[in-house]
Amino acid sequence: MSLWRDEAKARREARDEIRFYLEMRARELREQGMDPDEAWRTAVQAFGDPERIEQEVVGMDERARMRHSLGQWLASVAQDIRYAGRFLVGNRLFATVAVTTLALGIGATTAIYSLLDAALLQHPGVEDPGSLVAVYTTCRLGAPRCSSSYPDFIDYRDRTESLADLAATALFTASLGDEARGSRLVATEMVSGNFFSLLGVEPASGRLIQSADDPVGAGAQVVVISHALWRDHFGASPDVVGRTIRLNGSPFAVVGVASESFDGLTVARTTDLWVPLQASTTLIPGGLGRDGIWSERGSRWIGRLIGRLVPGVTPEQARAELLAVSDRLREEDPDARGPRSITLDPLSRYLAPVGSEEALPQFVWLLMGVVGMTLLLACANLANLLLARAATRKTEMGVRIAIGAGRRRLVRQLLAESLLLSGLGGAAGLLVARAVLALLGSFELPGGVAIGALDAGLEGRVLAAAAGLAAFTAVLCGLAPALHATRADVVAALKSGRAPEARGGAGRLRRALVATQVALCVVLLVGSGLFVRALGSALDADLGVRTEGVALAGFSPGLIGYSDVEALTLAEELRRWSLAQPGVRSAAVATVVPLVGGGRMGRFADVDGHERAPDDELRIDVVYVTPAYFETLGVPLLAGRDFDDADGAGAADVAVVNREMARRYWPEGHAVGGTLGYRTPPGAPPGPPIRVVGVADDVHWSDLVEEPTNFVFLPMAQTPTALTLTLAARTDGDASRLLPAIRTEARTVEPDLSLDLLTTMEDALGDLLMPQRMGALLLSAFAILALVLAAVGIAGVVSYTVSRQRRSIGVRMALGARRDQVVRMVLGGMMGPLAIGLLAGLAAAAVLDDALERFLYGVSPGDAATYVAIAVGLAVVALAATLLPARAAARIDPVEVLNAE
Amino acid sequence: MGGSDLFTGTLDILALRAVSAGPLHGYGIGRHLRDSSSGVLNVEEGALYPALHRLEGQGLLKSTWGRSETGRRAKFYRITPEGRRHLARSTERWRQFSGAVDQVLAETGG
Repeated sequence: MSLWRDEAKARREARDEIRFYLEMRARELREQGMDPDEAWRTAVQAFGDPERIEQEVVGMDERARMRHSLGQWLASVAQDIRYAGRFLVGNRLFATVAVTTLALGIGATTAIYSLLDAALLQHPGVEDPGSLVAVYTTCRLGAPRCSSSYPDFIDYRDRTESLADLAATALFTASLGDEARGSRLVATEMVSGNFFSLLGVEPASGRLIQSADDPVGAGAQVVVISHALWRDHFGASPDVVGRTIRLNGSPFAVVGVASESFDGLTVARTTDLWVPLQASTTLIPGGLGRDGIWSERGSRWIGRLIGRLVPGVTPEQARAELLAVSDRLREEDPDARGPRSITLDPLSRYLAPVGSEEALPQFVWLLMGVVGMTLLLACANLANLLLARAATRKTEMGVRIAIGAGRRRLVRQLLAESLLLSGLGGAAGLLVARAVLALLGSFELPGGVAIGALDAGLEGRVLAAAAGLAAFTAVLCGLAPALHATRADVVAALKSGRAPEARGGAGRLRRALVATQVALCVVLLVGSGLFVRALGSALDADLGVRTEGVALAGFSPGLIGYSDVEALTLAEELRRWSLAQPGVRSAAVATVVPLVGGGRMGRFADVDGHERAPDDELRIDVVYVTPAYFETLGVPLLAGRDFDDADGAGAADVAVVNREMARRYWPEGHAVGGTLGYRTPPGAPPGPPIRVVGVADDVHWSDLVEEPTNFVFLPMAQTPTALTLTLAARTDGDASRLLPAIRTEARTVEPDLSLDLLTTMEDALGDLLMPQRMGALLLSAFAILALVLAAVGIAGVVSYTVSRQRRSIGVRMALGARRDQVVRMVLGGMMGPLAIGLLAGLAAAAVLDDALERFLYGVSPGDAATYVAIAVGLAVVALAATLLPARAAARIDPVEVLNAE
Repeated sequence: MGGSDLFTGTLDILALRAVSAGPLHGYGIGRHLRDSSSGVLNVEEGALYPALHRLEGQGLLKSTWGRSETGRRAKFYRITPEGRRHLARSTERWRQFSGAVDQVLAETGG
């Protein structure tokens, strides 16, 4: 009944009641001798204002009504929970299985969601991040996000109107010198003067870098430190502002501490300190300085441009304008630029580490999908369990319907049971989530995002999500069984004194659930199978190098003040020392090493006798190496020779090119003997010719799926460099045994030298394969869980069916059916859902494995072997899960069953 | 509730007491109050009705529609078991309270 009707009725009754009083009272007064009019007036006067009293009465009634309905509701909820609790206590095994299943499903999902939240959903601590964009230009082979040159930055900044301002930032690792505690490496960002004002970051103390610190050619040697560095390295000292610190040996004045909420723009990568962009010439001895970093468009060293959109301008409009500027720049100086495109990333979220902008979210969403499927599977299992329960409780439900409990009330009670289950499951799931996060702490996501550094916790949004999941699963698992258990025909069943045979709704629902479970299981198994195979093939893959037995040590002599020539001497010394160690067959030093990377130097070049195509920038990556580089790393030389000690300063300039470069510019195969040179601005004298003396095979530099690009190797002796260097030594045995000796030797040769890398090449490959390994591990774990859940689900359905059909089986056997015929009958009933699930799962997996392609090195999506193996394996498990309870059917004793009737 | 309000509390007790002997309609309860309190509580006769409805809302009274002695439709109130317990408790408390007041008045008034 509606509240409005309740109120109208209350008002009518109150009026009637008061009227009755007044009539009676007036009558009393008349009997005492008053005339009728006076009696009525006196009665009303004694009563008070009837309208007001009526109003009060109605108010009283309304309050009482509301209190009553709330109380009733609370009481019935309490009763539901009490019943549910009693039921679960009475069915401990069922409750344990159900809660465990849910805890695993909810726990895993919660853990991955907290990871997703931390990796993809947080935004940096800047003002109005929604109107900020990161700007990149395309480069080699259309890679969408590459660094920009300084002249490009200036042109983009000055020639666009859709951007209110544009700032530049370049990441760099510097050595922070400290007499008291020795040096440590710090993540440094070189930023243009407008960086902080553009972002709207506030200082915690002192001031931030301003445009006045960053005039062209005269960057102030000032530094802003992060709140974390101030706290951890400077002990939160109040007088840090004004102090002078040494960065790469040069003095820099600390002018301020950044706000605690600002820790950089990249997820899981905190910046320790910021220096003016123009100070980079001081900061990086030699290195960047000599390559015309302020004037050449080929010198693309500025990692990111950050723009603030003019209010009302969409990122798409800004992108179009930047593209137009880029095209104009190409028209003005076709030599300096190839055709470029522009990529804009919104800063409403933390940026992914450069290069993993697509892989990171894809991988995290993939994990999310996997755990989501596991949760669905757990739900299907729980629904099956609840259905079986519902069947055995038909009598109870029938009795309660017979004594007048409404169906709605019963459904609610059954839902209360599944809510209680999922509540318990959710609570236990938080423990599971915590364990999963701890377990994953040492893994890395694509882009080298360490899960431990993500600060993924179980609070706020994540807890809300877990609670939501628990409620969602409760309704998802509980509703269908509850509706089924309370159907009207149970009363009929009750009258017959016997539960009905499984048929119609419940049977269909249960078979559909089995099919769903099998399908989900297939998808997970296929996914994990592909990952495992991909991992295997990546480990066996031809990466262009031989990883076994190679020790690697990285060091940056420039950071501690070495000149280029001094660095060369140091490199030679370490190389000779390595060669003298027992078991070492060859050793080399280089600026870049396959699989671990290093400081690539990009240049534009020209190849003699080659007419550059208009869409070809002819950009090369230059790697400086000592002799024996190719031999040490196991890179085959396809033609010509390696460098030797004669290729030194004063000798003719020589180069080794990679296969890709030889294929593109010397298609007839005459690379050896050809010449190339650095491209110079029009009018300037051409660069000295460099003669190609060898061709080396293509290698993978930093990624298993990268396409080969132009690489040119030059003898380090002809162009010494103090930049990042890596020593590589090939041993006969276990390379890791050599590592401690390298550390000791490095310290002996130069006490100030810190090694920024010390590992074996096999471990470096392992790090590179981290996402694949993590994917394989997690997917396998979930696939096994799924398989177990599905097997339990199938066995449960079959044994339920058998128990429902005892009578008809008994009759058949009494009529002469053989045991194997009975088994076959039961099996036959399951073939349909199993086959449907299997086919649906394979189809879904085929659709989904396109999404996996990026992570699957060396396995074609739709890998037939994986699919066949999974299909056969799952069929075997499913049959086994069917057969066990089916054999129980065959043991039914017809005499016993029929006598029991 | 009205326990702290002397008048409300008193009206409640008297109303409950009025119906404790048997069901009465509002007018009957009102007459009972007037008669038994010799007019002391004769403030505003209508105030009885909100009190009755409140008591009903608290589950101390229960009402039904019936016929009055004159044959007119009227709402009758009867006391519930809970109302009876409440009446016993309140009466006891009231006696203690009024006893204490009497004592004080006796001592000071002499």
